[in-house]
Amino acid sequence: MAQTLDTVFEHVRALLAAPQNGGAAPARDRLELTLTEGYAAALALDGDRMRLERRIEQLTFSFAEGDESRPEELRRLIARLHAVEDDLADLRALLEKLRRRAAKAA
Amino acid sequence: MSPKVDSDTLRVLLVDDHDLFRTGLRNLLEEQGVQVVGEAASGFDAIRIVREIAPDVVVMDLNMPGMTGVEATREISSIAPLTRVVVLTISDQDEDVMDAIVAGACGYLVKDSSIEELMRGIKAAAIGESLISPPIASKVLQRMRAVTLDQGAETIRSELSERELDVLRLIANGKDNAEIAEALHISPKTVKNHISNILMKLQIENRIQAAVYAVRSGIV
Repeated sequence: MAQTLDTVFEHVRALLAAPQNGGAAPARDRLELTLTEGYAAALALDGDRMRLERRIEQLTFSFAEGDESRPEELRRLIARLHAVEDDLADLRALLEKLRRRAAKAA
Repeated sequence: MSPKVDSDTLRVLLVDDHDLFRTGLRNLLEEQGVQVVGEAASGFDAIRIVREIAPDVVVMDLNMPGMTGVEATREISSIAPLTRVVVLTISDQDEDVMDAIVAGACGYLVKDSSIEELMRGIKAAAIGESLISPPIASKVLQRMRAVTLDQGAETIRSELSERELDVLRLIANGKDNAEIAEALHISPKTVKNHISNILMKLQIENRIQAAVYAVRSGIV
Protein backbone atom coordinates (compact mmCIF):
# COMPACT_ATOMS: atom_id res chain seq x y z
CA MET A 1 0.00 0.00 0.00
CA ALA A 2 2.84 2.41 0.92
CA GLN A 3 4.38 1.98 -2.54
CA THR A 4 0.99 2.46 -4.19
CA LEU A 5 0.30 5.56 -2.14
CA ASP A 6 3.75 6.97 -2.96
CA THR A 7 3.04 6.36 -6.63
CA VAL A 8 -0.33 8.12 -6.40
CA PHE A 9 1.28 11.14 -4.69
CA GLU A 10 3.96 11.13 -7.39
CA HIS A 11 1.39 11.08 -10.22
CA VAL A 12 -0.70 13.85 -8.69
CA ARG A 13 2.31 16.08 -8.00
CA ALA A 14 3.65 15.53 -11.51
CA LEU A 15 0.36 16.67 -13.04
CA LEU A 16 0.17 19.69 -10.76
CA ALA A 17 3.70 20.65 -11.79
CA ALA A 18 2.89 20.30 -15.50
CA PRO A 19 2.01 23.37 -17.59
CA GLN A 20 -1.66 24.36 -17.45
CA ASN A 21 -1.84 25.58 -21.03
CA GLY A 22 -0.34 24.77 -24.39
CA GLY A 23 0.67 21.52 -26.02
CA ALA A 24 2.50 20.20 -22.98
CA ALA A 25 -0.54 20.60 -20.71
CA PRO A 26 -1.99 17.24 -19.66
CA ALA A 27 -5.33 16.35 -21.25
CA ARG A 28 -8.46 16.40 -19.13
CA ASP A 29 -8.87 12.62 -19.46
CA ARG A 30 -5.44 12.11 -17.92
CA LEU A 31 -6.24 14.49 -15.09
CA GLU A 32 -9.51 12.69 -14.40
CA LEU A 33 -7.86 9.26 -14.47
CA THR A 34 -5.26 10.36 -11.93
CA LEU A 35 -7.98 11.97 -9.84
CA THR A 36 -9.88 8.70 -9.76
CA GLU A 37 -6.71 6.81 -8.77
CA GLY A 38 -6.23 9.38 -6.05
CA TYR A 39 -9.78 9.05 -4.77
CA ALA A 40 -9.40 5.25 -4.72
CA ALA A 41 -6.25 5.68 -2.61
CA ALA A 42 -8.09 8.13 -0.35
CA LEU A 43 -10.88 5.58 0.13
CA ALA A 44 -8.32 2.95 1.10
CA LEU A 45 -6.73 5.35 3.59
CA ASP A 46 -10.15 6.19 4.95
CA GLY A 47 -10.74 2.48 5.46
CA ASP A 48 -7.41 2.20 7.30
CA ARG A 49 -8.39 5.15 9.46
CA MET A 50 -11.69 3.57 10.42
CA ARG A 51 -10.13 0.21 11.22
CA LEU A 52 -7.45 1.86 13.36
CA GLU A 53 -10.04 3.95 15.20
CA ARG A 54 -12.11 0.84 15.87
CA ARG A 55 -9.10 -1.08 17.23
CA ILE A 56 -8.00 1.86 19.38
CA GLU A 57 -11.51 2.12 20.75
CA GLN A 58 -11.47 -1.59 21.65
CA LEU A 59 -8.10 -1.30 23.38
CA THR A 60 -9.13 1.86 25.22
CA PHE A 61 -12.25 0.09 26.38
CA SER A 62 -10.23 -2.86 27.69
CA PHE A 63 -7.90 -0.39 29.45
CA ALA A 64 -10.94 1.12 31.13
CA GLU A 65 -11.91 -2.38 32.20
CA GLY A 66 -8.53 -2.79 33.91
CA ASP A 67 -6.63 -4.66 31.21
CA GLU A 68 -3.42 -2.68 30.69
CA SER A 69 -1.48 -5.46 29.06
CA ARG A 70 -1.01 -3.87 25.66
CA PRO A 71 0.08 -0.23 26.06
CA GLU A 72 2.73 -0.61 23.36
CA GLU A 73 0.14 -1.73 20.83
CA LEU A 74 -2.05 1.23 21.70
CA ARG A 75 0.85 3.65 21.26
CA ARG A 76 1.74 2.05 17.93
CA LEU A 77 -1.87 2.23 16.71
CA ILE A 78 -2.24 5.86 17.70
CA ALA A 79 1.00 6.77 15.89
CA ARG A 80 -0.20 4.86 12.84
CA LEU A 81 -3.57 6.62 12.98
CA HIS A 82 -1.88 10.03 13.03
CA ALA A 83 0.26 9.05 10.05
CA VAL A 84 -2.79 7.87 8.10
CA GLU A 85 -4.72 11.04 8.96
CA ASP A 86 -1.77 13.15 7.78
CA ASP A 87 -1.48 11.21 4.52
CA LEU A 88 -5.22 11.50 3.98
CA ALA A 89 -5.23 15.25 4.59
CA ASP A 90 -2.22 15.77 2.28
CA LEU A 91 -3.74 13.60 -0.44
CA ARG A 92 -7.14 15.30 -0.27
CA ALA A 93 -5.51 18.75 -0.44
CA LEU A 94 -3.55 17.77 -3.55
CA LEU A 95 -6.58 16.12 -5.13
CA GLU A 96 -8.63 19.26 -4.58
CA LYS A 97 -5.98 21.29 -6.45
CA LEU A 98 -5.96 18.73 -9.23
CA ARG A 99 -9.76 18.68 -9.39
CA ARG A 100 -9.81 22.44 -9.89
CA ARG A 101 -7.19 22.07 -12.60
CA ALA A 102 -9.28 19.37 -14.31
CA ALA A 103 -12.40 21.55 -14.17
CA LYS A 104 -10.55 24.31 -16.01
CA ALA A 105 -8.95 21.98 -18.56
CA ALA A 106 -10.55 21.79 -21.99
CA MET B 1 -37.71 11.96 12.25
CA SER B 2 -36.23 9.76 9.52
CA PRO B 3 -36.65 6.03 9.81
CA LYS B 4 -33.42 4.18 10.60
CA VAL B 5 -31.86 2.09 7.88
CA ASP B 6 -30.00 -1.07 8.69
CA SER B 7 -26.84 -1.24 6.53
CA ASP B 8 -27.03 -5.04 6.48
CA THR B 9 -30.27 -4.98 4.54
CA LEU B 10 -29.12 -2.43 1.97
CA ARG B 11 -28.55 -3.89 -1.49
CA VAL B 12 -26.26 -1.66 -3.51
CA LEU B 13 -25.05 -1.69 -7.12
CA LEU B 14 -21.79 0.10 -7.91
CA VAL B 15 -21.39 1.67 -11.35
CA ASP B 16 -17.98 3.08 -12.28
CA ASP B 17 -15.69 2.40 -15.21
CA HIS B 18 -12.58 2.49 -13.00
CA ASP B 19 -11.97 -1.00 -11.58
CA LEU B 20 -9.65 0.26 -8.87
CA PHE B 21 -12.13 2.74 -7.51
CA ARG B 22 -15.02 0.25 -7.71
CA THR B 23 -13.05 -2.40 -5.85
CA GLY B 24 -11.93 0.02 -3.16
CA LEU B 25 -15.46 1.28 -2.68
CA ARG B 26 -16.86 -2.24 -2.57
CA ASN B 27 -14.42 -3.31 0.13
CA LEU B 28 -15.15 -0.28 2.22
CA LEU B 29 -18.94 -0.50 1.91
CA GLU B 30 -18.90 -4.21 2.72
CA GLU B 31 -16.89 -3.43 5.84
CA GLN B 32 -19.77 -1.13 6.79
CA GLY B 33 -22.20 -4.02 6.39
CA VAL B 34 -23.60 -2.92 3.04
CA GLN B 35 -24.47 -5.75 0.69
CA VAL B 36 -22.89 -4.91 -2.66
CA VAL B 37 -25.06 -7.01 -4.97
CA GLY B 38 -23.37 -6.05 -8.21
CA GLU B 39 -20.82 -3.97 -10.07
CA ALA B 40 -21.05 -2.44 -13.53
CA ALA B 41 -18.44 -0.64 -15.60
CA SER B 42 -20.94 1.06 -17.93
CA GLY B 43 -24.41 2.57 -18.01
CA PHE B 44 -25.67 -0.25 -20.22
CA ASP B 45 -24.50 -2.93 -17.78
CA ALA B 46 -26.01 -0.97 -14.91
CA ILE B 47 -29.44 -0.94 -16.54
CA ARG B 48 -29.25 -4.67 -17.28
CA ILE B 49 -28.33 -5.47 -13.67
CA VAL B 50 -31.04 -3.16 -12.29
CA ARG B 51 -33.61 -5.04 -14.41
CA GLU B 52 -32.32 -8.36 -13.06
CA ILE B 53 -31.91 -7.68 -9.36
CA ALA B 54 -33.57 -4.34 -8.57
CA PRO B 55 -31.06 -3.06 -5.98
CA ASP B 56 -32.16 -0.55 -3.33
CA VAL B 57 -29.49 1.96 -4.29
CA VAL B 58 -27.26 2.48 -7.32
CA VAL B 59 -24.03 4.39 -6.73
CA MET B 60 -23.41 5.92 -10.15
CA ASP B 61 -20.37 7.57 -11.72
CA LEU B 62 -21.22 10.18 -14.35
CA ASN B 63 -18.35 10.16 -16.79
CA MET B 64 -18.29 6.75 -18.45
CA PRO B 65 -17.66 5.66 -22.02
CA GLY B 66 -20.78 4.84 -24.02
CA MET B 67 -23.88 5.63 -22.04
CA THR B 68 -23.22 8.40 -19.52
CA GLY B 69 -24.24 8.21 -15.89
CA VAL B 70 -26.94 10.83 -16.48
CA GLU B 71 -28.49 8.77 -19.29
CA ALA B 72 -28.31 5.61 -17.21
CA THR B 73 -29.86 7.42 -14.24
CA ARG B 74 -32.75 8.62 -16.39
CA GLU B 75 -33.37 5.10 -17.67
CA ILE B 76 -33.14 3.51 -14.23
CA SER B 77 -35.55 6.08 -12.78
CA SER B 78 -37.97 5.14 -15.52
CA ILE B 79 -37.74 1.33 -15.35
CA ALA B 80 -37.18 0.93 -11.60
CA PRO B 81 -38.67 3.89 -9.70
CA LEU B 82 -38.05 2.22 -6.35
CA THR B 83 -34.33 1.96 -7.03
CA ARG B 84 -32.61 5.15 -5.87
CA VAL B 85 -29.61 6.56 -7.66
CA VAL B 86 -26.81 8.34 -5.82
CA VAL B 87 -24.28 10.00 -8.10
CA LEU B 88 -20.65 9.69 -7.00
CA THR B 89 -18.38 11.62 -9.31
CA ILE B 90 -15.35 13.89 -9.53
CA SER B 91 -17.38 16.71 -11.06
CA ASP B 92 -18.94 19.53 -9.09
CA GLN B 93 -19.88 21.44 -12.24
CA ASP B 94 -23.33 23.05 -12.12
CA GLU B 95 -24.43 21.46 -15.38
CA ASP B 96 -23.56 17.94 -14.26
CA VAL B 97 -25.29 18.38 -10.90
CA MET B 98 -28.48 19.78 -12.41
CA ASP B 99 -28.54 17.20 -15.24
CA ALA B 100 -28.17 14.35 -12.73
CA ILE B 101 -30.89 15.68 -10.45
CA VAL B 102 -33.27 16.30 -13.34
CA ALA B 103 -32.53 12.75 -14.58
CA GLY B 104 -33.74 11.39 -11.24
CA ALA B 105 -30.67 11.14 -8.98
CA CYS B 106 -31.65 11.59 -5.35
CA GLY B 107 -28.13 12.21 -4.10
CA TYR B 108 -25.00 13.82 -5.45
CA LEU B 109 -21.65 13.20 -3.80
CA VAL B 110 -18.13 13.95 -4.91
CA LYS B 111 -15.51 11.24 -4.86
CA ASP B 112 -13.44 12.89 -2.16
CA SER B 113 -16.28 12.33 0.31
CA SER B 114 -15.38 10.43 3.44
CA ILE B 115 -16.81 6.97 3.99
CA GLU B 116 -19.12 8.45 6.63
CA GLU B 117 -20.54 10.89 4.06
CA LEU B 118 -20.94 8.10 1.52
CA MET B 119 -22.81 5.97 4.03
CA ARG B 120 -25.07 8.89 4.94
CA GLY B 121 -25.79 9.48 1.26
CA ILE B 122 -26.57 5.83 0.55
CA LYS B 123 -28.77 5.45 3.63
CA ALA B 124 -30.61 8.69 2.86
CA ALA B 125 -31.25 7.49 -0.68
CA ALA B 126 -32.54 4.14 0.56
CA ILE B 127 -35.33 5.86 2.47
CA GLY B 128 -36.14 8.26 -0.33
CA GLU B 129 -34.31 11.24 1.12
CA SER B 130 -31.54 13.20 -0.56
CA LEU B 131 -28.01 14.11 0.35
CA ILE B 132 -25.89 16.45 -1.67
CA SER B 133 -22.26 17.22 -0.80
CA PRO B 134 -22.36 20.52 1.13
CA PRO B 135 -20.18 22.57 -1.29
CA ILE B 136 -22.34 21.34 -4.16
CA ALA B 137 -25.59 21.96 -2.30
CA SER B 138 -24.79 25.67 -2.02
CA LYS B 139 -24.08 25.83 -5.75
CA VAL B 140 -27.36 24.06 -6.50
CA LEU B 141 -29.25 26.52 -4.32
CA GLN B 142 -27.64 29.46 -6.10
CA ARG B 143 -28.57 27.94 -9.42
CA MET B 144 -32.15 27.23 -8.30
CA ARG B 145 -32.43 30.80 -7.02
CA ALA B 146 -31.28 32.09 -10.39
CA VAL B 147 -33.84 29.89 -12.16
CA THR B 148 -36.56 31.12 -9.80
CA LEU B 149 -35.57 34.71 -10.45
CA ASP B 150 -35.64 34.10 -14.19
CA GLN B 151 -39.09 32.52 -13.90
CA GLY B 152 -40.31 35.43 -11.74
CA ALA B 153 -39.05 37.94 -14.26
CA GLU B 154 -40.63 35.91 -17.04
CA THR B 155 -43.97 35.86 -15.22
CA ILE B 156 -43.91 39.62 -14.74
CA ARG B 157 -42.95 40.28 -18.34
CA SER B 158 -45.69 38.04 -19.65
CA GLU B 159 -48.36 39.50 -17.35
CA LEU B 160 -47.60 43.22 -17.54
CA SER B 161 -47.66 45.65 -20.43
CA GLU B 162 -44.53 47.63 -21.32
CA ARG B 163 -45.96 50.72 -19.67
CA GLU B 164 -46.85 48.80 -16.50
CA LEU B 165 -43.29 47.42 -16.43
CA ASP B 166 -41.97 51.00 -16.64
CA VAL B 167 -44.19 51.97 -13.72
CA LEU B 168 -43.10 48.91 -11.71
CA ARG B 169 -39.41 49.74 -12.23
CA LEU B 170 -39.98 53.28 -11.03
CA ILE B 171 -41.93 52.04 -7.98
CA ALA B 172 -39.01 49.76 -7.16
CA ASN B 173 -36.70 52.75 -7.45
CA GLY B 174 -38.68 54.51 -4.75
CA LYS B 175 -40.55 57.02 -6.90
CA ASP B 176 -43.96 58.29 -5.80
CA ASN B 177 -46.93 58.69 -8.16
CA ALA B 178 -46.12 62.30 -9.05
CA GLU B 179 -42.51 61.45 -9.87
CA ILE B 180 -43.60 58.46 -11.95
CA ALA B 181 -46.09 60.64 -13.82
CA GLU B 182 -43.41 63.19 -14.54
CA ALA B 183 -40.87 60.57 -15.64
CA LEU B 184 -43.30 58.90 -18.00
CA HIS B 185 -45.08 62.06 -19.15
CA ILE B 186 -48.48 60.77 -18.08
CA SER B 187 -51.05 62.02 -15.57
CA PRO B 188 -51.00 60.94 -11.88
CA LYS B 189 -54.42 59.40 -12.44
CA THR B 190 -53.04 57.20 -15.22
CA VAL B 191 -50.18 56.18 -12.92
CA LYS B 192 -52.74 55.19 -10.31
CA ASN B 193 -54.60 53.07 -12.86
CA HIS B 194 -51.39 51.36 -13.92
CA ILE B 195 -50.53 50.59 -10.30
CA SER B 196 -53.99 49.09 -9.69
CA ASN B 197 -53.53 46.88 -12.73
CA ILE B 198 -50.06 45.81 -11.58
CA LEU B 199 -51.34 44.86 -8.10
CA MET B 200 -54.25 42.95 -9.57
CA LYS B 201 -52.19 41.07 -12.18
CA LEU B 202 -49.43 40.12 -9.74
CA GLN B 203 -51.98 39.35 -6.99
CA ILE B 204 -50.24 41.54 -4.46
CA GLU B 205 -51.63 44.14 -2.09
CA ASN B 206 -49.52 47.26 -2.16
CA ARG B 207 -46.71 49.11 -3.88
CA ILE B 208 -44.13 47.95 -1.33
CA GLN B 209 -44.89 44.36 -2.19
CA ALA B 210 -44.70 45.33 -5.85
CA ALA B 211 -41.25 46.83 -5.31
CA VAL B 212 -40.04 43.74 -3.43
CA TYR B 213 -41.49 41.47 -6.12
CA ALA B 214 -39.74 43.46 -8.82
CA VAL B 215 -36.37 43.37 -7.07
CA ARG B 216 -36.57 39.67 -6.19
CA SER B 217 -37.59 38.81 -9.71
CA GLY B 218 -34.64 40.64 -11.18
CA ILE B 219 -36.78 43.16 -13.08
CA VAL B 220 -34.82 45.99 -11.50
